[in-house]
Amino acid sequence: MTPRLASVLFAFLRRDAFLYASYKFSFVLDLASVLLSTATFFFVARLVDPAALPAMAAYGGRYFAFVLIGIAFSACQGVCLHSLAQSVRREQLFGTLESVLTAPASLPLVILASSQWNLLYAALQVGFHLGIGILVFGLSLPPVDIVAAALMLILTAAAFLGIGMISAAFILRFKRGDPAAWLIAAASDLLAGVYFPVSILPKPLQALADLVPMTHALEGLRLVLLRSASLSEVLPHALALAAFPVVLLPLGILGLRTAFDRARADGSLGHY
Amino acid sequence: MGLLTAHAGGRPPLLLAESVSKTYRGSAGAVQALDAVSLALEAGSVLGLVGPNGSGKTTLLKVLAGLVTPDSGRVAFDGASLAGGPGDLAAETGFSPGEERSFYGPLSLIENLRFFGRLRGLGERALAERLEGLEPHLGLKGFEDLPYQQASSGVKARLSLARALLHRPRLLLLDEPTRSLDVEAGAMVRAMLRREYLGAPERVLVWSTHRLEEAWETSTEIAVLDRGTLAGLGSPEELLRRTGAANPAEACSALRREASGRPGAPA
Repeated sequence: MTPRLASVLFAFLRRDAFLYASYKFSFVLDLASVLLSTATFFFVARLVDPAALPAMAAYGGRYFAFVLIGIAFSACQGVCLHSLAQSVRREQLFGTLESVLTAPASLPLVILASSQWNLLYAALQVGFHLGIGILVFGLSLPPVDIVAAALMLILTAAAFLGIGMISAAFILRFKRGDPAAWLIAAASDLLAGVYFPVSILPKPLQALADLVPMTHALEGLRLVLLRSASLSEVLPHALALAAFPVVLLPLGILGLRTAFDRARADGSLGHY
Repeated sequence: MGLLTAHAGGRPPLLLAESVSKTYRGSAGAVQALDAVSLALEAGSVLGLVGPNGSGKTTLLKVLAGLVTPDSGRVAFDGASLAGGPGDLAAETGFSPGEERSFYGPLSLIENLRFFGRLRGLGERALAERLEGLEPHLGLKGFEDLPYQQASSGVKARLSLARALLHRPRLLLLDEPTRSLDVEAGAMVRAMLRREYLGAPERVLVWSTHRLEEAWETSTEIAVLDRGTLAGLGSPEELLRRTGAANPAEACSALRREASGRPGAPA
């Protein structure tokens, strides 16, 4: 990383930390939300008899652990999908977009750098979910293969960022509406196995689920976190997940560039 | 120093705009903001843009900053085109927009400057040194920790100037920089701008204002815009002489009357 790049990344991270700190109750409210949703699913899990659900066996047979990972990474996905678009929207609302873009940094860098804080916070929220699950509700997790976990997390973030860039391009161009992120988030809730194993879906929906990045992310992450799976065991899920950023990241960069050029052409870069 | 035509001999112009036209199209119809505007400025020039609201001053500044793409025509600084957007010449350009809403409201003034300074590669020490140098002219001391949203319009205007000047840009573009300043502060700012840009090698300042006397006093060249067209262009003395006017206001009126009488002028 060059000093110039490090300086830009640090500038955005510091700015966003200060902006976050200026909203006094955000942290407390976020933590309370995590606590409440974790508690809700803890009690829902008491209704679920693992013996009656053979599909759960592949994940260690514990519904609370299964669903906690689902909701933790679903929340993380939400932040990743929306954070880039929200960053653009925030610059539009503050009126700072033009001033930021007159600095010597590329548009994709500016938008990614604007999202660093949200992405770090998303990771922290996953930690909140798992931490509350362990400390408050007695969840136990087996030892984890760190390399396998890191690979799955990086690929998951890369896939979501590609979609996030496409969403940001929509916001840059149309100011409102975020169809790409909306579609993926809605599809993930139903198809990706957030609340129940994908294997209980009808076959046609299982085929559709393969087209949703979250399906592969959750499958790999659950194996790593619940079954101590090694890198070789999660490799098929990692490879499937890797296909998404390969396609989506260039599309996202192209979308951003196109939206930027259109906004400059119609003079709407500074509009909100 | 002075205004050249694009084809003049001698030194090439540092800032060049050739036949720049821009029409905004929206649901309410089309508005021609600029119509074949051409400028060519040598290093050390200070160009004042004047004209009524809606005459195209802000659009021209944004085109020069690379924030708005012209429909036709060309803009170049030091021979480099701005066609690709502000990133192409960002390191060389400082831009102060006309709107107050261009900083992060909850952040303090100094935190805003730290952010924009770092984007331009200025670390803590370089930023402090630069602000120290600007302090006698901008007077921001004592306001550093004030949240931007609580600052007065005058302080906000000075902060916007400080941001535009932080990296000592070769091309400085200011949209009504003295609009919210009192007479004394405005004079200090204009004196500083003249000292930093007037006759400076490799530097150009383009600024807009509604205060015609200030424009005449500060600029080496004046561009009078009227409904997107260049109604007059020349040194302050030259425009007074050409129109036979006794003051800048009369000169501007005469030039705008003359321009609206030209064939093809907007109705």
